[in-house]
Amino acid sequence: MRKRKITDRVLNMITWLFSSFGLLVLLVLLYFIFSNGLKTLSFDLLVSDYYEQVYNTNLKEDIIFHNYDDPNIKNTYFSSKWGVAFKDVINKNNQPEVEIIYIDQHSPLVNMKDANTNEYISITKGQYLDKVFLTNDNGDFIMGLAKEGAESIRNNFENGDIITDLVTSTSGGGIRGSLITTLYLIILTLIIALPLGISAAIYLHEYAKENKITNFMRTMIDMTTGIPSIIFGLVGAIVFIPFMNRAIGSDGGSIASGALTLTIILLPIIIKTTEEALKVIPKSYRNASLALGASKTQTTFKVVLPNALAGILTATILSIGRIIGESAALIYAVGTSIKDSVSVNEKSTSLAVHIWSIMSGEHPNFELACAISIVILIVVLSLSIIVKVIDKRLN
Amino acid sequence: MRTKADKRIVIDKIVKNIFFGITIICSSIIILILVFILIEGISPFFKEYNILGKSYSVDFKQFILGTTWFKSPNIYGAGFIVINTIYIVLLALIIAVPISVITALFISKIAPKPLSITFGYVIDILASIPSIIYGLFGIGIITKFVKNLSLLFNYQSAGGISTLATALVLSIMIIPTITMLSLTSINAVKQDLINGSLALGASPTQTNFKVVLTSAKSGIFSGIILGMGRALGEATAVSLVAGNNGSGPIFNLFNTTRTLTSTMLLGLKETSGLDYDIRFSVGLLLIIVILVSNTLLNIVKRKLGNIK
Repeated sequence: MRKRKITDRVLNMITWLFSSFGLLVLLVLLYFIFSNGLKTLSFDLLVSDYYEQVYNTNLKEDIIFHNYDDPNIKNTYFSSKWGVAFKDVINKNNQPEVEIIYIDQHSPLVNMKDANTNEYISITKGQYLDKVFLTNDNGDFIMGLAKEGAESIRNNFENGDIITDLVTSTSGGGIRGSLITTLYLIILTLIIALPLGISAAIYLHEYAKENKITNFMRTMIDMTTGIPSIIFGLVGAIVFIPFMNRAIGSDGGSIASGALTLTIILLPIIIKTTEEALKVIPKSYRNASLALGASKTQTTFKVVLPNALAGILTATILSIGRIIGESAALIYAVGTSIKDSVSVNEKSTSLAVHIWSIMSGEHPNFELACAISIVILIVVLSLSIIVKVIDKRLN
Repeated sequence: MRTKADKRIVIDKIVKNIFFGITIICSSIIILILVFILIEGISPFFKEYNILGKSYSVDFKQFILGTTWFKSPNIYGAGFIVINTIYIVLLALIIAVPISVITALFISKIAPKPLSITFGYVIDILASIPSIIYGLFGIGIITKFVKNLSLLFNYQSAGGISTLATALVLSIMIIPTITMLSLTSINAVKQDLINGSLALGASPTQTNFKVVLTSAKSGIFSGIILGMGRALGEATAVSLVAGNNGSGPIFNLFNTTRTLTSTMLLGLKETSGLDYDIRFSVGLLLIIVILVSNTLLNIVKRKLGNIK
């Protein structure tokens, strides 16, 4: 008896210990992601470009100077001669920069000339000022560098009359392109996959007789779930990329070929979830509709489908979660080059592939990867909460 | 004269046939996948590739039995990678199965109600986290842990990127899968059985481990099969922590390694040529490994079910 008590106690302790492992992993993971990523995460990150862009401009014409109104923004230095305000800021790599925080809409800086192409180009607020060379009417040469700070830059501008060389840059490191790509992928995939999946579910549940062929088709669809996503990626590369190259004239992987690949990944999930929803609808609904003289088609579209809406919604949300998290398939079917200007017939990266791209390169960027992970986690977790809520409502 | 009813019957037939056609397309996807991968996967052994002015194709025997991934210009070996992959997945299962099964038992039978609900949520959340984030967690935390562990054994690892790190990441990823399936089957164990065991004088702990787990073994086994499938096919997370070891097989826990999936992803730049095409052969190999191991485990499962 005593021996049994000891074994029981030991086993119980092991149970508690082993069971807490999951919780421990989750806590460490969340701590790791949030502690590394929170500093980088900002609204700015979501809407700015990944690549920094450098503008090399000048303004050598004679200008009539006005006295522009000071917008009176805190901690900025305003040049009333040029109508532009500067501020000392810290960029994403923790380097000090001088940011152009305000430009008057009539400021001469709105009509600058590109040093290489001689085209008109306008400096916009939000850009960093790297350096500026000016001359004044006496022919004196004035040089301003970003490291001297915003106040000194402002003074340089005030003293100069002609800008011989102005170098500004956008900040870079943002994920706007990947965010848009992910949205495109979600929309395109759902447009293709939902009608197909729902139709198949309706056929399997409403029309098909329980025979060998139906069973065979069910098994086939079930088996598709067991295929790893990287294999789907290979299929995307073999089948959908050439198909899309011919259909829409893309060159290599594209968002469109990615959407088709995601479609075949999601079909089994959509079919399964929709069928579960169809099963719950009472047989009497269908019988009542048929007895009232409605045809089978009318019954399907006007009675069965509206009652399955919650299930279809669940399928949609599950699909969105899967698309956001999918990486291996998209690496093959779309590509790994991060883009700022996104188009359906070009390569691009979703958020998840963006993480893979910056982590598998030679200089992994933990901060940015964790910041993107926070975005993904928040979306995915809230989606799964929504699914839970819908499930509870249904039962 | 056509009546309204006739028209409706025709429409019904058309709609049914459209649905039927779509279902056929959906269910034939798996066959298309297998056929395309098969054709593309065996083509490097027959096709001639022009490398530096000479034409080559890949030797099939070398590919299956090889112990070096790549020797210029045309020798590829993937046999050792299969062994690496199976070894890593076995390690991951050894770590994950006890934890998952006991967690499921804990949630279902042992934990007080609030704790049981919390742990249920924890498993749900772990299941919904995308694999790339586990990969990130792998390089951020697990490789550091493995690196420190290897220093204890006086082994200089490549920053913790190793067999053990890969197995750990995989085990964390499959724990939710196995736990969820085990939980379903443990919940389904009949209360009569449990009451009977308790009435015969077994302690609750004995009942849990000897009666509940034995009755739920079929579902637990399904969970293990599913978890194994996921571990074999996991790609992005593995490619971040496995390393890029060119030869093997690797059994040393702290050494860098190479799995089938990491081979397919690493150094993917060109989208044509032998280096690209050979990845499809590796993919074919992966499908074969998954099919074979699934079949084997299913046979074992059936045998286990018969013992009862």
